[in-house]
Amino acid sequence: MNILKRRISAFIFITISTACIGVLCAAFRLVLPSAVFFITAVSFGMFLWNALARYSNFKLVVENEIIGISPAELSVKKNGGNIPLEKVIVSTFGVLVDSRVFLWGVKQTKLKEAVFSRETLSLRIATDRDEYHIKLLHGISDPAAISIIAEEIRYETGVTPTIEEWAHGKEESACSVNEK
Amino acid sequence: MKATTKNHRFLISLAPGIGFAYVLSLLFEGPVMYGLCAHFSFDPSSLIMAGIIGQLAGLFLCGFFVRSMNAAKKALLCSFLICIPFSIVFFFAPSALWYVSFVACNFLTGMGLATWSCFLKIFVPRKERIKAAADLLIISNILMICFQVVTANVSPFIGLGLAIAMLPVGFLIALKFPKAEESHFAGEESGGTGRNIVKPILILFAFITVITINSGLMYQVLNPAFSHLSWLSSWYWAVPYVAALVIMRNLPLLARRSTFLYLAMGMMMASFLSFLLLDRSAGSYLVVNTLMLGACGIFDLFWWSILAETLDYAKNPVKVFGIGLSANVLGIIIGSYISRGITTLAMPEVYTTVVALTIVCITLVILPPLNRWLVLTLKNHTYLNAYALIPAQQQDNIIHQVKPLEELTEREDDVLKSVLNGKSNREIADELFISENTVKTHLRNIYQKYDVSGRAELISTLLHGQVQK
Repeated sequence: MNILKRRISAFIFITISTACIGVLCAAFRLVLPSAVFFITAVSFGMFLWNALARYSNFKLVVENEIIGISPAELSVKKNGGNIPLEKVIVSTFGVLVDSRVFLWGVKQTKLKEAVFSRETLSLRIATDRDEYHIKLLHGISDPAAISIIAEEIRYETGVTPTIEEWAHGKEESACSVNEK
Repeated sequence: MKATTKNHRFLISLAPGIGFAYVLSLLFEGPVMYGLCAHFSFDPSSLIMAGIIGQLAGLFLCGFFVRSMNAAKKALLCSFLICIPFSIVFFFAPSALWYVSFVACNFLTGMGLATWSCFLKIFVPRKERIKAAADLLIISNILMICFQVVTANVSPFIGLGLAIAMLPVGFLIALKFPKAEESHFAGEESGGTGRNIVKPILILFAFITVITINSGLMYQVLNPAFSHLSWLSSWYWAVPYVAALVIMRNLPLLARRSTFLYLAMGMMMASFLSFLLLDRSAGSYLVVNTLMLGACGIFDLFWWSILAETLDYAKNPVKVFGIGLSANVLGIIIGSYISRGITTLAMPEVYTTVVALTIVCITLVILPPLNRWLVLTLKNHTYLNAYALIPAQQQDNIIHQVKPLEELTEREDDVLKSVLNGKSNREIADELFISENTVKTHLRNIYQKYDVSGRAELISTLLHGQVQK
């Protein structure tokens, strides 16, 4: 997220400065340099557009977090603090894994299935053409917490997660857990 | 029944039409006032500006004082009566009294005009209001042309006398207005469904201001160039305006209004271009003035009709109408200041026109998206008002009676219910503890699931689904 923010700032700076230099060159009737600078400005403008779209998706996922999984914790003795690592976030509109966003519920991408096992959360995302399978180590040992998360996923996405092989090796749905 | 409505409509347009003739010919940059100032060799610019500000204040503030039908009628009648003694001052040489009277008359007539909205809302059906507005403008402009001719060719004092004579006539006609029950317009408590009207009003305000900036520019840039043709301009300049109003008034109700907006924009551009290309002869004046004033007529009736329709959504029609009309006055002030700024640069006439043309181009580019935004907002309002009238139990059923292409999630269901309750994205976000961006994404998904392109279409689809069942 921070890398993306820095990249956006850089693109803004390059786009504006090249456009300004282009205008300056045009004012002095330097046709070729001004054309080069304008083309550069337009190219970086397109990169900026792309980065902003990615940032918007990131934000959407982060703002609507349902479950956040920290893959590791890195602490540094010298500074006495932790170095934050990117969390894996499952949200209303997608999942954020290693700076990559897999969106669902937007455009034609849909969340088809969510399965909780004792250790993993498996997600199946499909578009008209492709299908993605994502398996996350959720690290939650409390079945009640899992059922709350499963209910939230159902409420937000409309997909009822399956909870399998939990306490007694039985398969039971989130709804049946709620009824108890 | 239809004849009664027609009679009411005409009567309701006639009194303010006559009163407005007094305003147009004397108070609001009127030819009679210019004639009087020329007679007394008095520079009218500061007086005119003070008057315009008085008019703006009267229009804008009226809604805050007038909160019932009785108060509206009293304000209208008082504005006619009180202006008579104040106007007598203009028969005498200019003094400080001129300023006091001029500002007071402008303030009172502004208030009187804003109160017209109550009668328009109650006695004129919504679809007929464009005709009522056209009648008012036609009557007032024809009378104003007559007074202008008298002022230019006979005497400004006779012009002034005729303008003042309109006040008692208007008063007598206003006395015959049909009586309404007090409950029709009980200030802030009724008259609309209580839905928030601020957003449509702000858009309407911007829309009217942008339209009128062009008129303000036109007065200042074009008129001085043809000042040597006073024999022609004294009677012809408002004729194309009246002709455009007559044509627009008699259009079928199903005619697409936006088409005329584009037509007027084209005419406005053509007028400026012909002003650049043609000489300053009488023939050129006829071309330039016909295009320009014709466009102004279309523009004016366009926003008057939208304003008249907006009254249905307002708790207090006087406030909405007054604010809408004050946007018009504000546009004229901005336009005239822009053109004064341009003319003080002492550029050659061609450059002045090019600068003015550029400003017109910019405002005209803003108009279509502003119009689209306004129409969508008003449509939303209409549908939400219709939804609000449905009993609470049925409101819940509506969502489930129309099947979307794909099942909504529970979260989307909550967002949809809030939308149908007329809440804005920001309000929905606050209510559901989510960000505004999230609400927008949910809404996009909902639109996709109902195969619609916007909020208005979504509500319309749900309501029509309800009707069909």
